[in-house]
Amino acid sequence: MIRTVNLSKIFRTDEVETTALNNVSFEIKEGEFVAIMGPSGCGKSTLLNILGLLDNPTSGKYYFLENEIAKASEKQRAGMRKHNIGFVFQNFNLIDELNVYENVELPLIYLGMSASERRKRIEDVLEQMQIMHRKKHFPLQLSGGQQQRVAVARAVVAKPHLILADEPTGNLDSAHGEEVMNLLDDLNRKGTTIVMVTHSQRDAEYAHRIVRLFDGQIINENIRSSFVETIV
Amino acid sequence: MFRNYLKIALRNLARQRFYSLINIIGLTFGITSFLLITLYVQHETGFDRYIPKNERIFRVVEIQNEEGVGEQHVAITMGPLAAALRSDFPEVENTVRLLLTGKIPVQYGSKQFNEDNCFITDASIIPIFNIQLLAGNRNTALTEAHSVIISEILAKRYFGSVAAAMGKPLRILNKETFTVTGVMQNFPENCHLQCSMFIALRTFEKEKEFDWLKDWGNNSLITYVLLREGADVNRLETKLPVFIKRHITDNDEEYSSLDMYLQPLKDIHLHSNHIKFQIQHKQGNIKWVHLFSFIAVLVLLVACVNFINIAIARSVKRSKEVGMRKVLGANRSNLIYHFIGESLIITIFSVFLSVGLVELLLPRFNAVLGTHLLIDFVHNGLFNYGLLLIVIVTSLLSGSYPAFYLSKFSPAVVLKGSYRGKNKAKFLQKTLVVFQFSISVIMIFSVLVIVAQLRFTSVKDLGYNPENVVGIPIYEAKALQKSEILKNEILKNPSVKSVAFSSNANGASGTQGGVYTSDSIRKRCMVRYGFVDYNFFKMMEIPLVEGRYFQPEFATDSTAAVIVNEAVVREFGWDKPLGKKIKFIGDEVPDEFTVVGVIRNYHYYSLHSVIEPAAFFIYPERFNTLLVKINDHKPNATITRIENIWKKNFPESPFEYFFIKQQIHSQYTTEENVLIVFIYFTFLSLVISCMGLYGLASLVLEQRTREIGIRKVVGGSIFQIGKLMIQDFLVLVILAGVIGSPVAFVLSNNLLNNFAYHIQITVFYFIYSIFSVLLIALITVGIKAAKVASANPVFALKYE
Repeated sequence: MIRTVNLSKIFRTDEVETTALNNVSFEIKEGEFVAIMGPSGCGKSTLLNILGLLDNPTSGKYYFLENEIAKASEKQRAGMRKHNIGFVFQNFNLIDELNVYENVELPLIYLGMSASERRKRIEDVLEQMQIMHRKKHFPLQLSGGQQQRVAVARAVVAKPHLILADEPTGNLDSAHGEEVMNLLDDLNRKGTTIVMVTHSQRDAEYAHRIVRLFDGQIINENIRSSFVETIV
Repeated sequence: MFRNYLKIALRNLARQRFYSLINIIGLTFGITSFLLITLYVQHETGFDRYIPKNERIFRVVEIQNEEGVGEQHVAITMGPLAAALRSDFPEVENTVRLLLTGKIPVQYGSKQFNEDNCFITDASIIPIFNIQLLAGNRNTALTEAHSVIISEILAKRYFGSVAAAMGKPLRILNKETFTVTGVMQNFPENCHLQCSMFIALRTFEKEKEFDWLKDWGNNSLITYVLLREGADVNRLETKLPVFIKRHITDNDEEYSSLDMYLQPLKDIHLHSNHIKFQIQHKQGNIKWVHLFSFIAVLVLLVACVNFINIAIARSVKRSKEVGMRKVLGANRSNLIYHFIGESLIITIFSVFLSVGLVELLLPRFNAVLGTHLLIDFVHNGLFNYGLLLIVIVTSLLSGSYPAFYLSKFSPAVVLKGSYRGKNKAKFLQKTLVVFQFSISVIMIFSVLVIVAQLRFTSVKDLGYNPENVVGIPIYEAKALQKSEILKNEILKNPSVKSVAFSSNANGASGTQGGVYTSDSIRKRCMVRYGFVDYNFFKMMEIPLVEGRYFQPEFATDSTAAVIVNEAVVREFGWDKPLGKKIKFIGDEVPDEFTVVGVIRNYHYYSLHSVIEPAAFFIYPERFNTLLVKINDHKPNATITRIENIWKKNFPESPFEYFFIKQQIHSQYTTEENVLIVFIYFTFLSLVISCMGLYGLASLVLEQRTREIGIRKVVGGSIFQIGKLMIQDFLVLVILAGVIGSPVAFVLSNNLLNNFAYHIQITVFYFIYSIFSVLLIALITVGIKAAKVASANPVFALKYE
């Protein structure tokens, strides 16, 4: 599903040049649950942004669903993103002006789905996330755990092939964090590919494979299940 | 999708009440100003357009070039002109002549009124100006001598109803009886003429007193022509020089230079300030229309700029939302529509509020400008289109930059939380603040100049003393016949210091004519005629430069003496003017007059006009004003006693009076009204700019909360931190002052050019306007900066 070849990302300002990623090459197969770990500033979030078509690499190739992304326009990338990728963030990133129902509805609106079809999907996913009873509430009225469940609901409502999670439990206590990780695990068991950036070793235990980054390069990969093959 | 935008926009408005209020109030004020001015401009530019065939109706204007006055455009023409135009030019379908009578006594039975806006005119006035008759035959109403058409208002005042007026006799000008042959609809406000009575010109065509109607040398009538359909007015105008030569200049030495042109009817109201001797009810000025339109656009722009600035400043806060929407699949155009949609919702809301505010303000606005503007959604389709245009343009203007700017955000950058705004956008913000405050500088500067000019008009030495002088108009000959009796009776009152008679309160009659002197090289000069009695100059304290005033001891003073002003002496180049003789071109007065005195130039008209040469005579038949100088202790009591004397002598004539000083003051009513409008819009633009600046400062300072906290922790005082926060904004305001001042200077000079005598713009105006704006900005930003600088640093550091 995902393949990168010598992917690099350099951030340039007037005076400073920072290499966030340095010739990163790896593959992720459909149905995998991959955790990306590393110290702060090693390039984890940068890699996740590129995988999520939110940012462009400076050099190298990135293949997503067999399509080479470097050649894609902003419009094409937005199109691929909304049809195929869901995002879960550390700080939830819900829109405060919209209630739970409306937040989850957003991706479906951008997909041009009809109101009746949207309603059905949203209600299904809210039931799944056990947050249906709060559908009219606004994010500021919810606990951290509840907000993250809404974020997960929003990420999956469009039935994406891939979910990218950037430290999904970073702002949660252990109980709520475990709740969210169980949700992600459940989704993965049902076939959704998940790539998760995390600092938490405990969260990483949910993944099939852990990829370690350091100074923008992959230094290590631990395969935890028999599902994947070795990647250099 | 639109429902989603609407929901978010409304919730955003509610959540960010402070900034929403700034936007809505700013836009409402801006749109209100724009709507008010639009109504005014629509009214002013729509004069006379309701008349069918208005595009084919023209007023004849003469261009005279005479020594003493130079080139002047005059709207009065000769009696025979209309008929000659009809016979010589097939392009001319019809003509009409009008003679304004001034206020005249009109009697019905025992009732007597002094009526204004009365005209002696041809019967063709009815078809050309499409006069609507409520009673009478439009084909014959004015064709016969001694016929008169009156307005609906007069009909009801005199006779109780329109029907009752028909066939009734009216004694007009204390001379003759006329029959009411028609009642016309009251003239609409948007006609350059306001007429309450038309008197048939035919009545006077054979009267000796009106022999001048046949004289090509006498200009007293306004002439309008109606051209045939398809006629080319420019081509017709090219034939006028030959026409003039044939009929006028070849036969008449009165004119040293004469030309004519045809002024379109639709231009009369706004484009006639350069024309003398007109009969418009209210003179508009295209300059004011342009100026007000310019101001309206500026104030609206200031409001839109607020919107843009606040949107850019809030972009840091909204960047995450934008980033998330992109992550969730929104493309750039989705976001652009979203933000323009928000702008549209706020604009529509503001428009609704504005319409309400306009309704509230219209009575006051109308009172200031002397109009009757109103919002009429049913009949004023143009206004409705204008509203729609305002909604579209304002939302696009306000919303486009933020929409395009915000929609460009890269989700990867903004979601990291490190976005702090782009330099290009910050530069734009600063530019817009400078723009807003430049406008404030321009408007404050202009207000200061207008106030100073108006103060100048009230304190400038006019060359005479109108203090405590009451003018009593005389409309009938019998009052003049009893002038000595009146004078003696009035003088018995110890509160009365002096009494005099004159033509108009200022001594100048309003008519002009050519004179020449034969005492040196023969030279012509156009002079204003003034008709005064022996006491006028002394009473009005007009100083003598040479010679003497008129005196009854000199028998020839009343028949062959003239007093001239300095302008006449300058024009003729006299070293020793006393004893010089002047002759008149024309039959106005007897032939030759000897100069017995020279008076200092005085402003017999307003400071808008240069003092032209004037010659004064004793000619009681032309007196129309009784002047009484009274003590200022009990003016009302004194006036009541004068009124009693008047009523005793003239029981049927209504008594009217005015204070000369107030009449002089009323010459500047237009400028005073412009000042009021200017002050209103200056205040508005300042309020909007300050609101915007406060909002902007709030947002910017909020973004620097962490910095402020750190500075406090390391020892910064409130004053030091406050100063740091303010100085960036003040630099912008100073820059605004530097940029706005030259524009203000040019604009103000343009305003002052309406006056022949005006103040000089000194450096004081620049300093004062920049300082005012700086002070206002300092207070606006200072309040917020002080609050932020005083905040607990712990809170500030926790903020991040």
